Parts: sequence; C-alpha cells; structure tokens
Amino acid sequence: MHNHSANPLAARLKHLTLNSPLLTASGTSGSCNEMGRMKNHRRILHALGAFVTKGVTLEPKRGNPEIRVMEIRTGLMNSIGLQNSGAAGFLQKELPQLESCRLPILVNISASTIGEFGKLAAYLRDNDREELIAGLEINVSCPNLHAGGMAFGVDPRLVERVVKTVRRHSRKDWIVITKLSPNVTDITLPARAAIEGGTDVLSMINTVRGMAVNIETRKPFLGNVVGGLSGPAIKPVGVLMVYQCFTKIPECRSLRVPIIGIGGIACWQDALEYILAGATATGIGTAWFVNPNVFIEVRDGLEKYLSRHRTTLAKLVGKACDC
Amino acid sequence: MKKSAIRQPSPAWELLRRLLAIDGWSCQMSGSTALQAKKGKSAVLFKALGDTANRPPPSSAGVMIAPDENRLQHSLLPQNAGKLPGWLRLSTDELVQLAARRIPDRLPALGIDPLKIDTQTPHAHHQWLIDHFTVTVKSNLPVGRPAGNQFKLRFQTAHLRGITPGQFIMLQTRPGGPVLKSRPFTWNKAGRTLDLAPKAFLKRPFGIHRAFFPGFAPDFLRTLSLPSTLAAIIHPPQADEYDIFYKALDGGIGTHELRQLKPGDKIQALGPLGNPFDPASLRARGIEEIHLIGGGMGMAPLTFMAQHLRLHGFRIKAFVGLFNLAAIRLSDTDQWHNQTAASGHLFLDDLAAIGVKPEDLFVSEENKTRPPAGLPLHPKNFSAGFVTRQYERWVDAQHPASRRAQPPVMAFACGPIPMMRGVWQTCQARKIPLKVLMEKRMACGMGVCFSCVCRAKTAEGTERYSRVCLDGPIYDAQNLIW
Repeated sequence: MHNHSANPLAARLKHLTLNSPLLTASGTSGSCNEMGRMKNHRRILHALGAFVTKGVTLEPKRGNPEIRVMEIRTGLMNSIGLQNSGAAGFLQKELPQLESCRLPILVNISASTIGEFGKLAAYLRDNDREELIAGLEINVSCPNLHAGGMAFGVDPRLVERVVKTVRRHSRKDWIVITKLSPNVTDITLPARAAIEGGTDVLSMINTVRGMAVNIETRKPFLGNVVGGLSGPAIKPVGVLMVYQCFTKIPECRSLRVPIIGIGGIACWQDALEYILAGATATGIGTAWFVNPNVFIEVRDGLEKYLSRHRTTLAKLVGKACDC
Repeated sequence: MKKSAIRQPSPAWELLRRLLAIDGWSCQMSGSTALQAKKGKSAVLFKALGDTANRPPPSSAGVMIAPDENRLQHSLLPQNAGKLPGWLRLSTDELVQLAARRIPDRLPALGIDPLKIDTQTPHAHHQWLIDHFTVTVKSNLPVGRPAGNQFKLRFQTAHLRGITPGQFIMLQTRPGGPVLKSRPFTWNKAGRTLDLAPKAFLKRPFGIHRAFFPGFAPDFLRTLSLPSTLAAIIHPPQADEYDIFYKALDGGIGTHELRQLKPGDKIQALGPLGNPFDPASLRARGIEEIHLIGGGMGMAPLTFMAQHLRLHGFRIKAFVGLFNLAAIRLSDTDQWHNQTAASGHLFLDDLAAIGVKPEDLFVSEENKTRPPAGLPLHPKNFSAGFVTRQYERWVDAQHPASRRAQPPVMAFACGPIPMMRGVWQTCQARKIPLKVLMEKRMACGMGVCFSCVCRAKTAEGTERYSRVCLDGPIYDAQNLIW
C-alpha cells in the first residue's frame, strides 16, 4: 500500500524534508560543531534531521553573571543570557564548522527590538555564506526593550510584527520558524499571530520561567534571579500546547504550518507523545546533557515502534487529536 | 614468542640509545637483552620484551622495549607480564610513531626519516574525543578523622587512557543511568511506598586525583626517573584505575548519592573533558621546577598533575593548604596504610608515593595544631596559617628580590578563589608564571550549555565570560579577571 523504500521517519517542514524528525533544541548543542568532539558524533548526526543553533544576536552578547544553572528534581533551570559571539562571529567562525554536520542548519535568532530582528535577518541573508543556512528560528521569548523588558512572545501583535519583519528580510527559500514561549495564558493567540505574520513553521515550547532560592545565603539562586525551566518536568506543558495549537488552529491541523514539539523529551516515548499530539518534528535539548546517546536512542526507538505498527511517522501526526 | 626470537641486536636498541643521548644519558648493553642507561644518580634499565627470566630487583623500575617492529601495542603492561611490576612496554614501531607526533623536530637526531613514517596509526585520532562509558567502582572510603563528609572514590575503566592533568570527567552519581524514563518514579518494594526521594538529574564534574597503572606498584614513581625526551614521547601514560576526592555537601543530592556507591557498582561517565595538558610543552620553555599550591580539595587535581610532572622528571615543590590536618586522615581500611612509610594522610602520602621528597613538600594548617609524627615532610616545612603566606615566604627566600629576573619555574594553583587570587598576587609580583585550575558549576561539560563561565580577558583586553569546560579548566592566571 505504501512505498516501502520511503523513510518512515521522514518529516516535512514546508519544502524541507528531514531524514529524521529529531532536531537539536536551540541553546543546547552549541553553535559551532562542539558535538564533533564526541566519539559517537557520526551516529548522533545520523540520528538528527536538522541542526538548530544556539541563539544568535546582531552584536556579541556577554551573557548573565553567575550562577547560571541549577538542577531541579527532573530538570534544569538556566539563565545563560544568550551569550554568543554575534552575527559576524557566527558567520565567520561557527557556521563554517557546522557545515561538516551535513545537516540542514536552522539559525535561532534573538533581538531586543523589531528593527534589530530585521537587521539580523538581513545580515544573515546578505553575505556569502547564506547558502549554508536552511532557515531561521525566531526566539520571541527574548525581552523587548521598548516594552520594558517584557517578552515579545506574550503580545500577539508584537509576535506578528516580528515574524513579518523577519520574513521580509529573509531569503525566500529559507523556512521561518517561530519559537513560542509557554509563559502565556493561551498559546493559540501568539501562534495565530505568528501565522498571520507569515511563519512557515511553529516550534514550541521555550523554557518555562521559574526561580529558586538558596536557603543558606537567603538570596535568589541564579545570578539573573529568573531562570528558564527545561527538562522532563515541562513535558506535559509542551504536549498540551502542541495539542491546543493542532486542534484549534486550522493551519496547524492541515499541516500547512507544521509544529516542532520541544520541551522535556528524554526518550522515544516522549517524542512520540508530541507527534501524536500534533508535532511533525521534535527537538531534544536538556536530555542530551544527561544522556549523550539520547538522539540515537530516540531515533532507534521510533524506528522500532514504526516497524512494529507498520506505519510511518507522518501518519501518526496529531493522531491523539482525532476524537 | 620464543626466547630465541629476540636475541639479535635490534634497531630498537639503536633508537633507544639515540633517544637517551638527546638528554645526555649514557647507555651500556648489559647482556644481549638489556640496556642500562645512566645519568647522574638516575638509572633506568631497558629490557627486551620476552625475557621474563631475568627480572629486575623488586625495588627498581624500568622501561621495556619490544624489538618486534611489526607490532603496535599501546598499553603499559601486557596481561601476561603481571609478574614484572614497574615495567613499561612499547614497541619500536610505536616509539617511532609517538616520536613523530610528539617531538617531530628531533627525528633527525634519532636517525628517522620523517617521510617514511605512516602517521595513520589507529590511536592517532581518538585521543581527545569525548567518550560515554561505564566505570566500575572499586572502593568508596571516607577520608578524615572523625569520619565526616569527605570521600575518596576509586573506579576502574579502560576508557580514560588519554586523560591528562586539568582534564575532568562527568560522573553519574548513582548506578542505573539517568532519570529519563517515561515514568521517573520507582516503586520501593521494601517499604511499599512510592520512592519520591530527589535524584540527581545531571552528571557531576570531577578532576582526577590520582591514576594507577596496571602492573605498576602504586609508588613506582618514588624511584623511577625517566629521561625527559622519552617521557615526552610516552605521555600520557595509560592508566586503568583512578581516584577522585569529593565532599558530600550538606543537602547536596549528587554527592549524597555518590557516597552510597559500593564496590562493584557500575556508573556512567563522560570524558575526558576539558583541554589536555602536555608537560613536555613546559620543558620546551626551559622550565625545570614546578610549584604546586593547593587549597583543600584543590590539591586533588594537583596530585594528578604531580604524577605526570614526575614522570617527566620535573622538580616539584608541593604546598598543601588545609584547614585541619585531621580532615585528610585516611580510614584504617584504606590500603595506603599498608604502604611503606605511609603516614595515613591523603595528599601527603600520595605525593610521597609519586616521588615528591620530604624537603619539597610543604603543609600549612589554618587550625594550628602540633603536626603528628611521621609526616613525609621536613618539620620546618610545616606552618600555621594560610598556604598563600607560606608560599610567599618560601618564594621570597628562594628567589630574593635582588634576583628578580624571571626564574625558570612555573606555578600551578587550585583551590578556593580567594586563595588562588592570593597566589596570583604573589606570583605576579615575582614574575612567576601561574596557571590555575578552575572549577565551576556545570551542566553539560562539553561546551554547549554555557553554564560554567568565569571572567576572562579577551585578546583586546576586554572582559568576557569564558567556558571553563571548553577554554579551561587550566588558565593562565594573567588571562583571568581577579
């Protein structure tokens, strides 16, 4: 009935067909080929469908003061502060190293004003290495200078304007992904706004905001006070948000705007939950700190599940939304 | 191999003779299967592989060279040579390969044509790649009297053979892998309750305290002194058992789990991480004497550093700063108690076994007590107060202000930040180059999460956050912001 030679794990994000539905979650796999120092990096790369870089900003960013990370029972809180070497440094030093991955490269971009988002997209477009880039992922969770540091992502009108600006300044064949923040009451509002703005793909979720207190010093634990929570603890939040977008937004349901499910995936069962809730592809981040084989294990697990049920991943997208 | 196969003088001897001549060692064949090398008081015996009948005296150590040129073997001792403690085995082929990589400029002196070397050796590339593997716990013993919250964990693995001082590993703190299952909670059968105790989510970073080499007595470096060129070639040596020293913090989940580990437990590890360090690079800079200044737990990675430096024949001056000497008393069950001349103190016995002489070992104790008898150090080398002060006084006595030219020494410090800052002020004023070993809270250990940052200077002199796991953990003190 179906073509047996086709890759059952293939995932389509617009015109981009990925060999595997697994992506690196932005900020957890570096932005040059840090992974290449792993002994099993070839197997890791084989398990991946695309590489999402750490957030890149127009100017280099120093990052937040210590302490930047703390562990909770089933996850991690971080406040790195987008430390990166800036768009110029990324293009010159890091992107060429990423080329050896032989994966579609999706560049995660951050900015503090809408104008800066446009400049950043244009800067990445107008250089001689833009062919190495397959698309952009817009981080709308970063603080907006004009709104007193409140994130772009909580205001649907701003989301729409940011996406529109980035879309206008991107290469036509780049896919534009909007990575949504879970720190909102209704995820479908910024999701619809991003679609209005012309996003090709939605990815969700970014980290959940949280805080920890050091009981010995009686001060906030993280240098930046506020941290982003990631890891298995947030998976149910992410699965629900994917489900809500898939069921409530016609463009998502029809797969015209596919969803990348991210948040707490640590094993193949987790990835499958996201896919059944409506995700076309999935990103893995924090679990990779804990288990360097996680991409390989998730891919193998999915492959076995699919052959056991004689189906393909594409057929399972949103199956949990059929009721 | 039959004994008769190794009789004839082989190119191995000629290669070895030339190698030793670079450092001014003189060689003499003793019989047809051994070569005696001498320089001053140091002597090393080299024997052809296969000659097990003619064993060295138990106290001596030596290097074994295999004249079989077709075999490439990169291990310290073969399984079947366990009867010869203190022997290092290398094949001629391997010696040539290593020489080509480590001392390429010396190849003509060795009579080797660089063009004829096949550099595609099996072990040429894997050395600095990060591996994920399982280690087996050998022992997990409390350190300190009365037993408190410090422990020494010994584990066995064959996967850390390239690890050098300064590098570190990430260890899962309990057997059975990470908490990543769909259902992270387990049913505790004994108590019939759901086990909701917090579990460490991440691995924890640890520096190596000491390495043990298969087939070698733990204190083989007490007597062995290798010619430095040969040491440069065989670095890093191939160990299979390692010690880490850790403190179980109050309320610390990871270290609390660690202390529950029992011999035979298998735990996951990631490594080696961080930048490798090659002592031969110091030799190239004309440095002969190394000062190691450790504050408390910070002495642990410096002990591993001392081990490598001794193998390379550097003179070592070790300064151990402690709050309380009792805090490093070893437990009775620790095998170090059975060692000759062991005082039963961590670090001090380790350094003595590594070959740091009593006159080169210094201890300062903040909580002033009378030092117990039998410490492996000269009584004058014990002082009360901070180790930074002790080091400063000693440096001023050794390198007085009248001779303020840069002495051919280098210092390494590891410990709390205020202590390292103190050492840096001392070294800066006296033009002693200082390297520090940094420790920071980590998540990934691989350079992707940007958690473990310290404040460093850029080439332009501005400030930046530098990732300890990727740019360090060894830093030039002058490149950091104190």
